[in-house]
Amino acid sequence: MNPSTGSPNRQVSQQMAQGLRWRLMVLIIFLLLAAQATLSIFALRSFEQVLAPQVHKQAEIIGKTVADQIEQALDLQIPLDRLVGMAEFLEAILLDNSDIDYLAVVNPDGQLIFQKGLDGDLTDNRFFALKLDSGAAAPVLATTERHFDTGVPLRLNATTPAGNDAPGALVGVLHVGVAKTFVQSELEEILYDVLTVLLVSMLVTLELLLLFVVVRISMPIRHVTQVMQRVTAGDFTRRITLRSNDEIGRFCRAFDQLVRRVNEQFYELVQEAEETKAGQIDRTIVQRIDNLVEKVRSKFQFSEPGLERTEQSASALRVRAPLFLFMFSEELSRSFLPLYVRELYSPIDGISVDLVVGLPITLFMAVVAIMTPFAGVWADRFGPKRLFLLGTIPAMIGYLGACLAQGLTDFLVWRALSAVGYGLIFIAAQSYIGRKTDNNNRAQGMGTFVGAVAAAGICGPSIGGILADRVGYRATFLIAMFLAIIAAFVVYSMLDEEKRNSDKPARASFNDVMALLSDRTFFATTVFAAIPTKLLLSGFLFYLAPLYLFELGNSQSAIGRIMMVYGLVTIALTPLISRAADFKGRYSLFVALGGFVAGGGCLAILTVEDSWTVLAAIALMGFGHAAIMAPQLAAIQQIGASGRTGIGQATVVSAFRLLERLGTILGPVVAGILVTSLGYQHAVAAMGGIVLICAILYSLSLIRPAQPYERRLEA
Amino acid sequence: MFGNLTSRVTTTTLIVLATAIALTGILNFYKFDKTLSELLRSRYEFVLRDLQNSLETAMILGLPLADLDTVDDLLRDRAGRDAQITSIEVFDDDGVVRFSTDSSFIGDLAAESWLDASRRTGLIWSTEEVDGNTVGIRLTDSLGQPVGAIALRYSRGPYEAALNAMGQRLTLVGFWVLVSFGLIGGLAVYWLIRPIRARLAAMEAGTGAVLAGRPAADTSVEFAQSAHSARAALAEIDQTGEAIRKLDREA
Repeated sequence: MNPSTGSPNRQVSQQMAQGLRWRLMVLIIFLLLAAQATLSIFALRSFEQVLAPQVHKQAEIIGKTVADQIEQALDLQIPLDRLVGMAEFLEAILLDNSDIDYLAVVNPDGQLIFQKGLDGDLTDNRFFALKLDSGAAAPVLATTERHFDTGVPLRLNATTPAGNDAPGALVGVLHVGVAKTFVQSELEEILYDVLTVLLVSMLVTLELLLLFVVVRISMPIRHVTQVMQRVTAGDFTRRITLRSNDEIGRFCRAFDQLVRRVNEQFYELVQEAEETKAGQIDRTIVQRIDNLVEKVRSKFQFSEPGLERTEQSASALRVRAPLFLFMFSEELSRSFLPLYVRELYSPIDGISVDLVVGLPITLFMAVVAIMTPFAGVWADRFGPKRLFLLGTIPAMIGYLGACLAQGLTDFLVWRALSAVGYGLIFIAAQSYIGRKTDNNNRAQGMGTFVGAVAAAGICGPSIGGILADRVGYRATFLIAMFLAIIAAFVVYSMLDEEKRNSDKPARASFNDVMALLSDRTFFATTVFAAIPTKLLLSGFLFYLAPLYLFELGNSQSAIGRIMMVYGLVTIALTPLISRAADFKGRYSLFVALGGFVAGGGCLAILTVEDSWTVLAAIALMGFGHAAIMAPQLAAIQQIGASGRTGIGQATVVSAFRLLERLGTILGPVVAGILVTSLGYQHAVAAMGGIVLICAILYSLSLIRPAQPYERRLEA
Repeated sequence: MFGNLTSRVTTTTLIVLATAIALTGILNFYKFDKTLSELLRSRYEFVLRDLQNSLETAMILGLPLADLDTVDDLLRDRAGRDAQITSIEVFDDDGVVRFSTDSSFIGDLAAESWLDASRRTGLIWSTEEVDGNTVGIRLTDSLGQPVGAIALRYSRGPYEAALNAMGQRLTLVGFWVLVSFGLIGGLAVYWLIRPIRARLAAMEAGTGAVLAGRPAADTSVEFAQSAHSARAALAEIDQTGEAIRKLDREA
């Protein structure tokens, strides 16, 4: 290493890859925005072209029908300006036809007699001066600044008492107005969907770019730099193998050829020296030859051609794309699963519909929890790649079955199968990262895992909602199946085969769990923080939120968008809060704060019953969970690190994760019981209340003096 | 095709762009479908409400549905206002068609799906058939008792034609948007990746130069140092070989 140039390892890779990701990200965001805007503008123009005649036709039919009714009154010899109840009559028609902006009746001179829906500034608008040709039979279309106006002639079918108007005489004009922005306002409804697609596209882009830049550029360059560093130091024992055929691959091969050449030349020299020595009788010459070769060997390190050690360019990041894809496929159904279950529901004696609707979520979580220890063993036996591929099989069958489900019973079976796949893949991905990282970069590796799961948590519900709205629940499960197939394909082509792992993974025994539960901090963090957090997540977000939002009149897309907020808030705040917690060092303070925010947010749902309040509760829950998740894990790890329980850190974390899952399993059951007796609004508030009480108990546990665990051990 | 960094990044960009365009196109298409079908539906619902109003007003005096006169004319007048309306039928509570724009239907039994929909759903119902859609409205007498329903059938042809045309138009526009922005993206990616490609190509050429015994042009510190080291090793090996051969000759 040259001290004047800093770390060469960092320098080359950073020079080449630093900034590229962000420049590409900015470019793709620009392309996405511009492309979507262009497409949407073209779509708007096309819609206006096609829909405008339909809107005119609509106005014409309504106009003719209203005109018929007015003419019936006129035929009863009632003059146009003396018709009674016209305002109410016109208002009722406007109420039934939201696409009509106004109805107005004018006399043949264009003077306004009756109107409903006209703005003040339009009342005396000059367009009423537009007079119909007295002989016009058909409605006439005119365009004003803001409206398409259809004028329908009002004619007499009989002679007036005064006899001054003959049958067929024009006595007035009925104007039917449709806003020019009608099509535009209709399209505004999908604005949020288009923005969601944009957000999700950006997240997917970020995932792909991260994978591409790191795996294809940064990592190979870092490894070739390591080999270059060794070569600089005279070490020719390492080679780099890179299969890619791009510029990096070509350079790596060229550099590798250079290393090989040096080794080959050296061994040719050694062979030449041996042959020369064999022909010598003079021992001093033999010795001098040996000295010459040793001199080279002392300056440089060589290895026999073909026996060089290979620098691997594998990265834990490789698992991120398939993990994201798989998690995305699972999250697609998040925003509509309870609604789909309700469609499949057939009455079961003694069990309320609300309890049954939560069953698939509970079953799913329980199967995942059961699968976790087995998956750990299988990951060791078969390797993470095979386990991932194995996991996609039940997951795909589960999605297909869920798509074709005829009733609740078979749906439960299919969801359980998907859960088996989910559990296997969850552990396979963690195991892969564990094997590709060491103590120096394990946290970064787990960041890869958490990042992929969080990104999928944002994209899945929102896109799933949009898809469910357009193609239905069943087809969305089918799409999930195809995404799982793509994930399997990516795993097959990108992940390395791993050898069997001889390390015994840390697993918590029953005795370990019981011993840990007698530790006050562990007990309080698990029972009053972690379990309520998961309880609220599965009970409120996964189960109650979709149903409640649907009851409040939201479309499936809107439900998905609202649920997406949880992921957005969590992903945005977790790093900030974790940093603050690390800085303060008071993890329990943040855990308590998180409980109060999440619980309080759900309780606040009692204030106003609308979608905005639910959105606020979800956002606050995301805030609360962001404050809880990392600090609670840090607090748990501290217990392990302190050694006061006599149980290793990995086992402490494993026991904590196991117990935490209880909350996920129980969430829908508790929510189902609450909603049966209280309704959605109060059920959410009650769940918030439970979390708040737990937060209070957790806070009290911090205040109450601790009974030293060591003393109990001694006793 | 995927032999260089530019094509790989461009392909990734195109995949993301194509997915986003496809999703936006699908969203727009479904919105168009929804808007158009709701427009048609609300138009025919309005016609039905008007007919319901006329018929129920006529029944206020206690006249049974079957005895109403001028209903056929009224139906024909309303049907004549819109070319998409294929027929309007009024059937009684037993499902017997009493009035129709097509007199050959009178006395026939209304379609089972209409009767089902009329009994199951609220005031306004709709069904989809092979040759078109039907919207219907329930009729009640002055005591609020159901006496039958009005069914309006309209052709789905123009609607489907408009939908197909819009689908094709959006596909075409989406394709051109993808091609245009894909090209822009490709050029931009080429421009962004160029320095990295140039650097790697120079290092590859430099390595080739060291192998060929020529001076390497690349000036990067790490590469220059390692190239110098490799060159020094090769030179040392050569010199040692030469020294061994010299010793051999001397001996």
